[in-house]
Amino acid sequence: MSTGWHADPVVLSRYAAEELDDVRASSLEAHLLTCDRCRDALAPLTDAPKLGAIWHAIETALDAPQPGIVERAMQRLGVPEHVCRLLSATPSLRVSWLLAEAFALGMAAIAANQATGTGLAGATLFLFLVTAALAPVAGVAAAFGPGVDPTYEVGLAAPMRSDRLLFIRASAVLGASLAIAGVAALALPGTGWTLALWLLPALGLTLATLAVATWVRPVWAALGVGVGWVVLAAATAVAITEPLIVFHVWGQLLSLGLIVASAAVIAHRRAAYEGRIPA
Amino acid sequence: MTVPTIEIADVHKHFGRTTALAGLTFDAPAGITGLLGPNGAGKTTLLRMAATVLAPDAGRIRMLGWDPSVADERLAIRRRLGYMPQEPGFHRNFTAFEFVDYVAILKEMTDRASRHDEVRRVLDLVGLEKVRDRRIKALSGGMRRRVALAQALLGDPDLLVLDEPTAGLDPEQRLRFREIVSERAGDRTVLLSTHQTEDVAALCPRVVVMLDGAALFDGTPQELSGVARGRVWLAPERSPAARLSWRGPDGAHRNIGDAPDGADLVEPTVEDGYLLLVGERAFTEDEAA
Repeated sequence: MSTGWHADPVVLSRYAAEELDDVRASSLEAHLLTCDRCRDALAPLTDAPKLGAIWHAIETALDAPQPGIVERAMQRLGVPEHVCRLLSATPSLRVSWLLAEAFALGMAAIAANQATGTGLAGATLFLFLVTAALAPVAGVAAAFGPGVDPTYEVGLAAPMRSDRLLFIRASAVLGASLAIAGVAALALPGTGWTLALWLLPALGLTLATLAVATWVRPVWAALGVGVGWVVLAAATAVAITEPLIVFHVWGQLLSLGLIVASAAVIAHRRAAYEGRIPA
Repeated sequence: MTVPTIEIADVHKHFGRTTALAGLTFDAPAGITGLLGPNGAGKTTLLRMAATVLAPDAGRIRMLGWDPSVADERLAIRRRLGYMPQEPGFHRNFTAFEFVDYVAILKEMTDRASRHDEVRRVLDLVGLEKVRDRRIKALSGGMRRRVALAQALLGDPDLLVLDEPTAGLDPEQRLRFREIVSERAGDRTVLLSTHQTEDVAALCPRVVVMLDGAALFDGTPQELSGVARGRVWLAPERSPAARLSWRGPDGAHRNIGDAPDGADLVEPTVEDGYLLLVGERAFTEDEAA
């Protein structure tokens, strides 16, 4: 195919000598894709293997799938391209999931804010903190494992270790959830430590989920940890008649202990993520 | 003597009260080995073990000379393995290219340019070059199976484990599949299960018939059809001596069983041998399928 105009021989020579700036080179490459005559004119100006390599690079660049919004955002944050691709297959990192999470936490934070000075202030703040701590747990449950990841079995037969894939996805989910909860927490009444009371419980519950997932599927692990957390938080709030007791000093220390214990279990049992039944 | 790529000795596997494999002993050398058997015979369980995703309850397995129960050796196997499960799952919002690209990363292909070259190569191989940018949810069932086959071919593996790769493919696609697999066989090992006896006859120098978790037959397709030699005959109606019988397109009944004297014997096919081996149970289940 030929177009109505053709590149100047001087421009072609400079292109072959790699002297054109990026903008002009890109423009010329776009033209070359549709102009046989200019490609023929360029051919003698450069050696065949080099020209072949150039065309291959152009074709590869044009042919490559365009990453989605989340994938592009992660690449801008410096996450390697292949890791972004792995993360793009994580259900709990899809835009719809993140928006739903932002909506739930945003509404909980706004409710807590609106209830300031009323009899519901403690209860709404409690609701936000409990939910914020649970958000990454739900995300991790939806990130990996049979029944959640449709390519789980193909992935299991591939050389990439299952625990590595799980940790990559769990880290990304945790990071996204903490960021969303952190922004939502800005709408809370009060300042200082109140805004971050959920942070250690969130980390502890997420690691506990990963630890329990060495015995059962991540979904069941998250369900067990989540129910346990809600029951513990509600029971202590009712028993001690102080809604936020589970987030106070002893609660934070308990979360720290949970983080350490869960990390130890994960380190000891990480091979179990492969899901193979031992011989 | 050819060293077996896959060695399975006295392997047992139970799922609850169901016995999937009952002391299976089985070797697969380089080349294509076809697994035949009715549903529930244990084919998929065996293939999942060969793909290193399932471990036996008892028995010994070695693949490519390595023991899959040892983590490092399992990794070595997986680096030389291509696996297509019976029901491959997809991220349906991915395009065909993105999906195969994703699996390529799981196969440790991290360099973008060379990985994309490999993805293009395998998609071209299975004839999906024109739809590689189409989302998987918009592809037909046959195309999805070809996407699944493409991911198994990534990296040109030494060991290909394919669970019913031709299910849902039209005749032309099946021929293309045979071409792809036979070209790749050579000194590599392909282990495939199928309900299509024609595929076995056309592709596999070796066939294993499984029933109730054990190997009922192990030999060449010619030997399998030979099981029915002298036991297949044509008659105007179903013969009382026939264990199985059906009317062909020409109106004559093809009878399989102990042929009566003077029967019009015909050359048996692989399917005849298979049906005679597994009996009416397989016949019924194949019809239902």
